[in-house]
Amino acid sequence: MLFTKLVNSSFKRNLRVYGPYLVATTMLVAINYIFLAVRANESLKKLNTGAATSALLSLGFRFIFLVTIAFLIYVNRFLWQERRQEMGLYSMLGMTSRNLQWLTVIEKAYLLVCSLVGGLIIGVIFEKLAFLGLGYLLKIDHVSQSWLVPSALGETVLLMSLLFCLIMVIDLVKLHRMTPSQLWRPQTVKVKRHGKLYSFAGLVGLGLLIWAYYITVTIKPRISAIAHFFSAVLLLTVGTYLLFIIGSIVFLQFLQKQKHYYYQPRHFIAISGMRQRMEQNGASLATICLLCSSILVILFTSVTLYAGIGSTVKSYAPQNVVINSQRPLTAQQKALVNDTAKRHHATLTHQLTYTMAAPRYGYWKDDRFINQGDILHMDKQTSSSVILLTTKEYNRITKQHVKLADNQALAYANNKGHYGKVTINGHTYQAKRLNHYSLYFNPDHSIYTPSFYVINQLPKGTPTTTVTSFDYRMKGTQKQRIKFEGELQAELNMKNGQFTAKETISSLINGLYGGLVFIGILISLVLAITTTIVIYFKQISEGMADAERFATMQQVGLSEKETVKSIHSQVLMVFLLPLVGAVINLGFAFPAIRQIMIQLSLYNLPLMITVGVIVSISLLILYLVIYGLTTRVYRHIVEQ
Amino acid sequence: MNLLHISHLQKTYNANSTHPVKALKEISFDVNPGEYIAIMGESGAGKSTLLNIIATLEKASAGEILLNGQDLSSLTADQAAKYRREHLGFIFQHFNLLNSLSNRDNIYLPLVLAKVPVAEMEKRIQPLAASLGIEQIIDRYPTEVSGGQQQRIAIARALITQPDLLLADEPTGALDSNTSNEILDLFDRVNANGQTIIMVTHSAAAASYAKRTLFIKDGRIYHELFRGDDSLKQYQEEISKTMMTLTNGGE
Repeated sequence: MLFTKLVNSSFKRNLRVYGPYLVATTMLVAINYIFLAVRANESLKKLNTGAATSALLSLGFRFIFLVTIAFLIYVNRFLWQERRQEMGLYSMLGMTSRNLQWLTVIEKAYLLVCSLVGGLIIGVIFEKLAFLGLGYLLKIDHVSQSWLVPSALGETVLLMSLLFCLIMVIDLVKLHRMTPSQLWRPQTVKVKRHGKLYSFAGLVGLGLLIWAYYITVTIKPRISAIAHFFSAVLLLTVGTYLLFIIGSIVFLQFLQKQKHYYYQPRHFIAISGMRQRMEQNGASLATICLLCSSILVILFTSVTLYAGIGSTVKSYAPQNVVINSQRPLTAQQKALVNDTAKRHHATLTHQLTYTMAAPRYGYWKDDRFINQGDILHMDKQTSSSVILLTTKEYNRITKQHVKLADNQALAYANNKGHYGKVTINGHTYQAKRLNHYSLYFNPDHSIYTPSFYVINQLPKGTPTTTVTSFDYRMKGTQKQRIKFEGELQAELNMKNGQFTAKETISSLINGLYGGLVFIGILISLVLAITTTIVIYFKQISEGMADAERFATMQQVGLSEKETVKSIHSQVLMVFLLPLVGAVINLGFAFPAIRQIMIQLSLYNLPLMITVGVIVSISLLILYLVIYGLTTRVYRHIVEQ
Repeated sequence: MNLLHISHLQKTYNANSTHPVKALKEISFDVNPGEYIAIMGESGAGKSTLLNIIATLEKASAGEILLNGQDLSSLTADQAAKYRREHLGFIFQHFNLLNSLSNRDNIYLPLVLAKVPVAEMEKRIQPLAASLGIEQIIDRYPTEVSGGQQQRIAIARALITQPDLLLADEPTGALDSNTSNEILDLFDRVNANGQTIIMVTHSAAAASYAKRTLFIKDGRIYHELFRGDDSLKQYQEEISKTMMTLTNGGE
């Protein structure tokens, strides 16, 4: 049939465009399928963190699906530009608009079938792998997944078909609106003139960015930190767009006015070229910048969280089992513990019981701690908590012989602590910093990390709590240990706030953060794929526009060497701009993320820096690889 | 001394293939300083190839081409680029202005590439803009002005380097007849100031402005006409007649 032949030949001719497009859609189909298949898994739902994991997966899927929609619509514009002239030619040769519509339908159907078949094959193969990876991240070995998940297959096919219908409709509407000669004639780009308002908008963009950075740098570890972070993200998004679209132009216009700088061969070509590029690509570059920023932030956050699980667990449960109670355990309760241990063939070791003041919440005003009461009295101002411990108890449990005067204190905090002269509950102490305190923990699992102060005497009327903790040894799987811990808690009839068991809490956190990392990696992958393709198409369309420019320049006397050099410097600038922006964004997001991490009981700064650097460098390498590959295509076009 | 000396010039495309295409077979002519020459011929006659060789955009397969004593065929690609921007000016049918540059910057382009100081550029553009009548539009962009005005900008770009030789490839091809005449009058004035011009065209009206017309057919110079004291109209008729005989194949 003629139409299929025409579509086929058009595919072959435009392989440079369709090839990468199909690779990207295939990958997106695969990842969408993987998400749906993992979400549909039954054994995952039965885990104790199952509900949280599937909620995360649903959220992640929605995000990825949105990215897929945005990507398809965005890239469709490039495909349309490629096909427009062809369509124009056909219509001049006498094809009716019905014929052209038919061509569009066939084209989209082809693309859909190719990406579905390829994507589902890859999806099925890698879904198994992804699931094993998820199991590993969650640190569980008793989940299983079949090779094929029919419900997920069906859903993927349905959703993708809907999406392709959508872009088909978009194309058909465009086709309907255009006359043959409009289709045929290439669009000429006019250089826009910009008034004062325009420069003002550029300044607003810069202002918004600075505001966003200010927020992230000054975020305090309070409940409102996450809300602040999101408002910063919003400001950053708007600011980035304004700055890329308008700020860059204003800046380049300024450079153009510096005659002695502007009228030098290298600057002349670069600045005028950049100006045209930014007029056309400001929005795309801003998008690339934000995509890269999201990749960095998502990967950074999830990997840090996951890598920090050990320290989080340790701060919740310094020993295998930790019990907080108002009074020491009764003989009866002790017997219950021993009986349960015996039944599970567990041997108890390192048993320890001590008394300390119950954690008090409040905030610091200079060196004075404003006490608000227990965890139930927290409010928006709350930013830290304090636990007092008598010297006597401290010496007993750490086997030391420390002597303090009444106005002296020892202080330990694993976040930023207050040392030197401090006032707590109306008493002023000279606090000396302790470098190590092995029994440090966060009894309420609250987001405000406690500071420990060792003093001679607790003030009168201070509520106290008794900590009973021990390790246990038992043979058996993780599942059996969790069962033992669960039974122990049930026998003692204690709430979660009072009873903390390491194995249980660690599997809980692993389940939560493991799921986060899994989703973080997949989302980053999706963002990376879309970013790559967006860059690729940018390069191609730029190349076509630049080919003409460079031909003229060579006629006027630009040598080939100079041409190649200026191509490189321009492409590199356009390329590096978003990445530099992304790294700066990460740099400013860092303090904010750190404060949020602190709320999630992660205080390991060196770890965060390491992860941040590794993530940034990996992105840079990936980016440069993409740059290298796409520049070859670009040069090929320009030098034709 | 001749400004341009061409002797026995040949150009063969795909020389090593089974179907070599001989675009230029035997071209010899000289151009003296201050001349205004039109090269005429039908499409495919080899006009553009000849112009491209003079413009150092292509290299001849055989023969000699000297511009101001400089052997153009011995230049490397980079030397050729430098030579172009120092000694030659170009005018194209489609103007070939860069839309990303303002008209002023388009005119400055060859000077910027040659690293001429800003003060010198500004000094040169003023009289040029006045004589070409583009003072009003000089700070607009090419897409904002008419075709005739764009061609004036292109002429300014070609002249600002004070080239030894101005090369024009169908300079009126994309313009209506009124605008064409304006542009051709401009060429006349430029020539009167001593600028040597070589123009390729297939319009007899355009060629009639030149002082000498070379006719090319099948890669050879077929005929040569001098305007002498003829009026524009007489000369144009003569050119048309020659073109007719050229097309019909006999003399």
